[in-house]
Amino acid sequence: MSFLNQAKPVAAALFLGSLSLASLSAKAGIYNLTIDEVMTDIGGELRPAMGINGQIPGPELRFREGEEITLNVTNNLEEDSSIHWHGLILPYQMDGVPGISFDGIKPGETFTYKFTANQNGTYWYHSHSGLQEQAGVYGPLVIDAAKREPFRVDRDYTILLSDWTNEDPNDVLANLKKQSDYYNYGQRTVGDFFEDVAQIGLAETISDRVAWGNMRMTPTDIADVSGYTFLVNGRNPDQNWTGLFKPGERVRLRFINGSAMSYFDVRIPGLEMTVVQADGNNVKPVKVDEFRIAVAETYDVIVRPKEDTAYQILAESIDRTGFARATLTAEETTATPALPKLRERPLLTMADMGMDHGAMEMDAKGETGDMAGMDHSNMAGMSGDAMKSGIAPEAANGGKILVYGDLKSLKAVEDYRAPEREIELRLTGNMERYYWSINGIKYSDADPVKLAYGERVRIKFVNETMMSHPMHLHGMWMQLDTGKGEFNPLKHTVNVPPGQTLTVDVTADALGEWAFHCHLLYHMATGMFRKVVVEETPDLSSLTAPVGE
Amino acid sequence: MKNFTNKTRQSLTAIGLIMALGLGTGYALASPGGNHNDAIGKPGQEATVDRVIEISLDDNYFDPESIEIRSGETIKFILSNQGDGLHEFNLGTPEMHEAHQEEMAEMMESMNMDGMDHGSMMGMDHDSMGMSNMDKGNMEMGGMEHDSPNSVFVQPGEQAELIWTFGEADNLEFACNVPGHYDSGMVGAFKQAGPADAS
Amino acid sequence: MTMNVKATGPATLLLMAALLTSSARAEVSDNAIHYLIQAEEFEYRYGEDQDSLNWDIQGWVGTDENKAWLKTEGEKILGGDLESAQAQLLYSRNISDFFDLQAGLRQDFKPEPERTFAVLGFQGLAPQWFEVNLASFLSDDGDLSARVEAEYELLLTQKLVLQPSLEVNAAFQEVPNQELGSGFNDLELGLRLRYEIEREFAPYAGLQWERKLGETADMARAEGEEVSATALVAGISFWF
Repeated sequence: MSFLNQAKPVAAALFLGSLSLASLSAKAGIYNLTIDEVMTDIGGELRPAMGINGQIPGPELRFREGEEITLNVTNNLEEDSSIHWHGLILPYQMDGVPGISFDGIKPGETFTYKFTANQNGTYWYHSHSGLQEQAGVYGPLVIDAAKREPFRVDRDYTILLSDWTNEDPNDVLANLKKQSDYYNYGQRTVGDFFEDVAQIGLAETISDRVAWGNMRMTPTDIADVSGYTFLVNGRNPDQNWTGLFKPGERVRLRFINGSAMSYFDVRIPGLEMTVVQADGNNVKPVKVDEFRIAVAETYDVIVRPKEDTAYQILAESIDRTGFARATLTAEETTATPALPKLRERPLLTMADMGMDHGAMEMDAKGETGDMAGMDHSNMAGMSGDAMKSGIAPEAANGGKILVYGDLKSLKAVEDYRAPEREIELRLTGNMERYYWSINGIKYSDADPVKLAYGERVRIKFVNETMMSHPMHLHGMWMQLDTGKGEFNPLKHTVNVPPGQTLTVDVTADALGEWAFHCHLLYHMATGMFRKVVVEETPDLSSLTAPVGE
Repeated sequence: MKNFTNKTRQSLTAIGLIMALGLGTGYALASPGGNHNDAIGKPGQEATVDRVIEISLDDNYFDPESIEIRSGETIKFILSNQGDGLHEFNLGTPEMHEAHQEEMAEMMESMNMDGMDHGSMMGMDHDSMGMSNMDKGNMEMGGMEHDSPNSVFVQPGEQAELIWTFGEADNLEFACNVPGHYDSGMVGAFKQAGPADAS
Repeated sequence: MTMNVKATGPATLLLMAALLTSSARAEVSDNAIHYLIQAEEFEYRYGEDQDSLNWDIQGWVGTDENKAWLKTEGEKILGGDLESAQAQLLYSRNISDFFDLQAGLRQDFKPEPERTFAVLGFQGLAPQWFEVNLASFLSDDGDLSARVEAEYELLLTQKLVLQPSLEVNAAFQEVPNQELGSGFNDLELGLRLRYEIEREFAPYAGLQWERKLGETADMARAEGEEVSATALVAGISFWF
């Protein structure tokens, strides 16, 4: 079964479902959304879920830069709900985080969000209540640029990646609390032990097992949750979301990772991708064969399929448990190729545990190209290769993979200046007990991070865990330090790989209270979260101390 | 400072390579014979200019993006780089552009220039400190304009000219072959409106 | 069990009250109460002389920091009496990344006479993935004893797991009416191979070997009892 989708007109807005449009010409739009209980069989059995306007994902919201937006969101659930506009810069009362921005939306009630779309690009929206996002309360959000964009495309498709589980998300969290490796069916076995002995010798194998055993961590902790069906625009790989093109056209693909927990490595065999936007902000074009998209990130790429054939868009989960798949095809009748074999599940190494800081100094600025072509079979032990990351992405075709060091803002960022102070945030957690924290302190025990209005602050993330964490700041851009100075890109979500350090600079230009958290849903829900308060005259004593201590 | 020295050397090498590329392309064009080259036309002379067309090069697009031409017509292009990055105005067929892009990409790769783009090679980046110490005269790409007559690189904020006498080819494009730019749409079409004398 | 509830009811209520009033901010439920009930051993033992039904079931309810634990284990001789039955109700507090400090009460319903103990112990994950539980018991008669339990899980495949286990009991003084000598009392070694049909449900089979030690063994010999016993076991482990 294939779902063919016509390209959306680039300049005109398209509205789906019960979305209504009051006025296009007046640069003001009224949109109505409902959050509903729905049923879905997307994962192979009919399950209760939550949707927006009755669908998963919710309808694509398409705004115009400069448009005054009115969004009426009605909660038809039996529990509180909310919608957060991910990546949008707006008044904090409109940010949609219950307990911080507002009280949430009670069952049966409607909350009216009002803000102006002062930016353009690819974003998304989702519930910020409980675990509703995993249950289906998310959708794409695109703001068309008021001025000419720095690229020209013939077609424009949104590719919203997500992970669906047939389980109740609350059960998923409960399972993790009861048995943290519940979903890890890629653990090292006795057989692996002997394979490693054959490859690297008994002594090396034992010392490797002892090293991990002492930490009581396992190199197989790639993803906390498995059993997912991965979706593109709500379609599973069999349903195969399909977009059309004419050979030679430039096709813009707006990738959004709306997953609760899943990172993807994205490739389109046969096509190079030119990355032109990251997190809604234009970057200097980078041609890549593959890119890794962390949870909550967005990347816009342009592809130019020249052949009259079908190209597969493959988003392979980083724990290699499945694909989200879509197809670009010149003809509706062209058969889609079969899904390729999943690559081997990665194994973390001591380098990922921050055991070799020297080698990882490169962090965000680094080119991981020298890791390409690395032989995973040699990675098990503590031998020479162990100092290379096991989780660093590689292109399936051995070609170019996007790294943060490639990201360079298209235009110099206006408020680029030296930070006045640095806040170190250690990303911490306890896989065994399954809770996650910042500086060893869970949200409910932590004081807010206080910023002075207008100040420029450097945030240094030090990942002390074995998981990657996509850190998301609400309300303000993070200027990711990729060594490009004023051309450092602006992001709303930055991926901090295990054992690595990464810095971002933030101008505290948005008064109010904001959420700041890991965007892995179950990490956020178990404490990897902070409130950020931007105020005119904060208590100065709180500014000097490291956050959370 | 070691870093800086390395970066400078890389940049110089890059410029050298670009020039070599330019020379290569120029040589191919200048070589006699071959309908291909006749069809796309040849460098024009100031004295025979029929029309002057101003094109702005921005990040990352041309304005205008389509120009009507007639075979035999000589056009002087005044090219202004309004953007923040280095851009090229290269006149050729899609195949020529593709080949040129591959060369440029290979060059980038062979130099392992992590994240560098032509802007920084040119010392135009505000953050590539110290580049101003270099003798700017040496870095000017001016020489290339002559060596590669169908192509000119224009630095941000600067202007350049290219004069071309068009042939009969109807698939000519003007393109920027800085990696990623052509792919994201920095290309315009020359639309053949017939022979010049027909009007 | 009624006795147990009577003895520890007020403590449980206090604990639950503490759990429920612990700060929980609306937007993030990082102090949510979870629970687990886990039957590690629920098995039939084919012994040399007698067969028995044995259980070892533990459960907890609480937050990451504060939990209430209930542990019960026992043995019923087939065609005979309830040989042993005991339960512990403990308050458990995480004191490090991998260990909880546990304190509470233990009630031995069998063998008779019933006895009550105060319990203080540690439970958690030791380096190299050993699940360990160290507990000391002070009886209402003033006798002090201790128990060490350790388990390890060896993955043959992702679902086939070999689990060796060890339990050692020791008393710091003689307890004649329990036929316990001073020093090490007994050693139990187990080896169970389970197949996880689901994470929550795994049938298993294995071996259990027990031996009385030191003075306790001497006392058993004097009574004409065996000091060691080997049994084949088959059972299911499950949790919810």
